[in-house]
Amino acid sequence: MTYDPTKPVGEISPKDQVVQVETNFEQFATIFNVNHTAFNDPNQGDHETILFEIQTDDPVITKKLDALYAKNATSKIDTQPQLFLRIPVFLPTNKPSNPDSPGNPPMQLTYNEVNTAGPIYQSFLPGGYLLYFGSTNNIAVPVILSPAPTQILAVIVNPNNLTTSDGIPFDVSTSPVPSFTDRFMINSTLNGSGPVVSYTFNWMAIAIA
Amino acid sequence: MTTPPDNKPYDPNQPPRANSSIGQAQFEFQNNFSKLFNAFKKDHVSLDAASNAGNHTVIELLQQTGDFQTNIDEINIYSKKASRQTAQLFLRQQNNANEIQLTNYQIYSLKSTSKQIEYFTFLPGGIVVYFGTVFNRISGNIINLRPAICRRIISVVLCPNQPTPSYPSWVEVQALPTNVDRFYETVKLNPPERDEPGPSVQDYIILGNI
Repeated sequence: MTYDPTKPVGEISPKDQVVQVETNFEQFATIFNVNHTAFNDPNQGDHETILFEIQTDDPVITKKLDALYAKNATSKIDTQPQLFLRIPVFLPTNKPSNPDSPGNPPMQLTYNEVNTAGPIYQSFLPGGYLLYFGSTNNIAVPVILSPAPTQILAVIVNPNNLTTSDGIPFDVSTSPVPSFTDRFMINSTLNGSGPVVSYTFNWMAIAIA
Repeated sequence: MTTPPDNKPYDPNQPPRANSSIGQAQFEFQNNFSKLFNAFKKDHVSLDAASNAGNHTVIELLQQTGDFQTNIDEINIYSKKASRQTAQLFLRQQNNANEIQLTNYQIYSLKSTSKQIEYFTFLPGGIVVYFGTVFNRISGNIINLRPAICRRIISVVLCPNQPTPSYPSWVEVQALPTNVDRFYETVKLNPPERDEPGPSVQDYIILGNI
């Protein structure tokens, strides 16, 4: 028996509707307890968890509020539900930077994977971006990002060595690997014509998921 | 009995009173059940749903005017108007500890130009992250910061993006902005070596306070 907001009705004797009335009270308490602290608990009404049902449409916001919800987001790897935020209005600035008036498009806040074990560390940034970072001591091979992104947007590399034998830092650059969206090369002349030195490069990359 | 009107409010004191019969109070019963049903349906899977009743569909956090309090073993997420912004998400740690602004501004796509490919995002704590690629030779060694919402530049890192290794440009100490809101709009770069053109293409990541 489910909750019925149209009961009890006047044409039926109250004694014949007791079960439905009890069901409504029982169901409300049970269902309220799904994501909230139950009635009669000192913390009744608090949220204990928030289980989002995936949405197919973005909420329309007409009041001063923020809307959090789950919606499918497609990345290079697959399509997964992610947490989205929509704020009320495009924020004011005295110099609107986008003449196309971007409105308040939903913002993807999460990604379904992080890597804190390395050697390719990875987390995510609001907007559907992935942040990768790590270090390498072999620039003869490309750095391959995992999970694979759709597009690498920026890569920063710095030599970890204090100096070469000539007393100057390494020069360095990065370059994309043609036909691949998940890797980049680190280029350096290292110690030039001087003696071979050991090296380590720290790197950081931001990509579209 | 007629259906309760929509504008009849939920009445926690109904029914029944000690001296009333259930039969006389059925209107109030039904009104309260109906109001509970409709209110709970907001943001939640409906009470009469065949499955998943009680789960959330959306969470609408109405903009609050004050900070929320937390006890031990509680954290709080709420919406509040951020300074010079609109309603943003805030997090308060347990026992009324730090309040942290979780979200900032409105992320949107910026149009690339022949001088610069640019993106931005944010980090909790009111930090904006600008990143992308700048084409030094035609940009006049300027990185544009869009949207112009940065009041303090915290960190600038650059790396040549080209097959030939090079030292990156170096960043001048930026003059304080003179516009009305004191927003930084650009970062000026200088060639790594005097009389050398420097790298033609560089990736950048810039962090600043909003």
